[in-house]
Amino acid sequence: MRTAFHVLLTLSQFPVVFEVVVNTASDTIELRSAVAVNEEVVKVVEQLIGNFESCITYLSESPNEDISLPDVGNQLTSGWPVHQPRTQEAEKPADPRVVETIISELSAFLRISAENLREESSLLSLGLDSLKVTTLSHRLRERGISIQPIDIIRAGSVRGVASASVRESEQDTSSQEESVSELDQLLWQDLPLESIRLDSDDQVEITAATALQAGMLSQVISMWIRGVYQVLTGPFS
Amino acid sequence: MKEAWRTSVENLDILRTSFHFSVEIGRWAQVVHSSLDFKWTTEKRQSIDNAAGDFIRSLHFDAEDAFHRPPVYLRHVSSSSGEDYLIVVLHHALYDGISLPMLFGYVKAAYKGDPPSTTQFHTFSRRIISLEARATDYWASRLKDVHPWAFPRRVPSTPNAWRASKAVNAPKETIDRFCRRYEVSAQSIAQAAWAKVLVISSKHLDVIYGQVVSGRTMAGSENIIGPVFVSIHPAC
Repeated sequence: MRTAFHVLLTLSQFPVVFEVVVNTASDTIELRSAVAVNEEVVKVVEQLIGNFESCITYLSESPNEDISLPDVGNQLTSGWPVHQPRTQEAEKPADPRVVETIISELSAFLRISAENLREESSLLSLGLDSLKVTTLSHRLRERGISIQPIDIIRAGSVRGVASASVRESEQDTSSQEESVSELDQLLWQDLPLESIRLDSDDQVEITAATALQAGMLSQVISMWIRGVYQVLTGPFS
Repeated sequence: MKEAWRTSVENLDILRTSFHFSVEIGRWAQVVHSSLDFKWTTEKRQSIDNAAGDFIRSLHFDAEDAFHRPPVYLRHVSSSSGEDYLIVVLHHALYDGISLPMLFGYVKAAYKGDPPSTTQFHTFSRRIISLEARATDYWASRLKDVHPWAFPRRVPSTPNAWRASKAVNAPKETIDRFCRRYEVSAQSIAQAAWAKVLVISSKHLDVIYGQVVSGRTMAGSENIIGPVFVSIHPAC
């Protein structure tokens, strides 16, 4: 079931439309806004979205089902079910230092005051799109937080990004690494060292080629495509 | 210049890497050598015209043993009009697009006597292979019920590579405007167009195709000189 509320505000001379969509099937609440492109108005809208998120988070995470919210909150929420957080991401405590770093990067990158950013702030609501997440991913990596752009989108919120980046560092790759080492061992055993070394003093290290290296080597041999080689020319003195 | 390149080959393990195929295991191995195999030649010719083409035609890579020495070749060409050129031939198994400017930057620094410290490709390649294994497991499981479909050939079968192209008549400004309006990149549009071509050609609504990714998003990979590109991501 989808229920939509429309709110029309007038900020200065700019009309702003908010649409709140409650989707009980997917257990989500969306706040959409249509706003004239004006920096001042956008700032106010961002603040409103932030406040809205705070209300929703308070509602969904509060252990007390008897919630009273001031002003508009009561009218909008009457009859809504109160949900406990559904996802592990929401439950998992994020490293406060990581959260702080993400907020400071986001604030500088999106030019939003850090005061308006919270752990639960929705990144998409803040204007982060698929192009901007790549830059954000690079900026975060420079601050020691490793997360892929696609995972930023999936994470959705500051807390989500913090949790996802922690998970990446904890990721268990030991089984794959073991099989890679085994493969290297097999190659060491199979390839005759005397035919590999360039001369008697040559110390060699053997590892498996990556899939794309292997693909291009085989392609060149079978077709001898000169295009796979890069020929670079340039004058020099 | 020659010494700058020699220093670069000495310092960068990817330029000292050869390739051997293990028939028993069915895999290519990359071998990093401590010994230097520095293939620098000089040539004097009337004109620089066709120098690069002539050089690469003199090299042969039609058998596995052609890769038993690192596939890096340098030729200094002097023309009778007093011009000097350097021709660099590298196999694509040694670099990616992002590496080339970094490699030339490294050589330039070596020329000035101050080559920077850098992360070697081989410290990283095990991670790439480990990721490949994980990704292969994932996609093999995800696509287990998918049937392959061969793109119909428009030309008779040939042992050589063939290429077909069709010009798109949309001006760049139109594409840029469209991208801004829908907040997508030109690459996204090209991918959507390719998906549509596949759907129409195959007459199947569900199609999947590969997209090469740079792999430079992996932590620690930013400054590596080597073929970091990790894999081809399927796009559905």
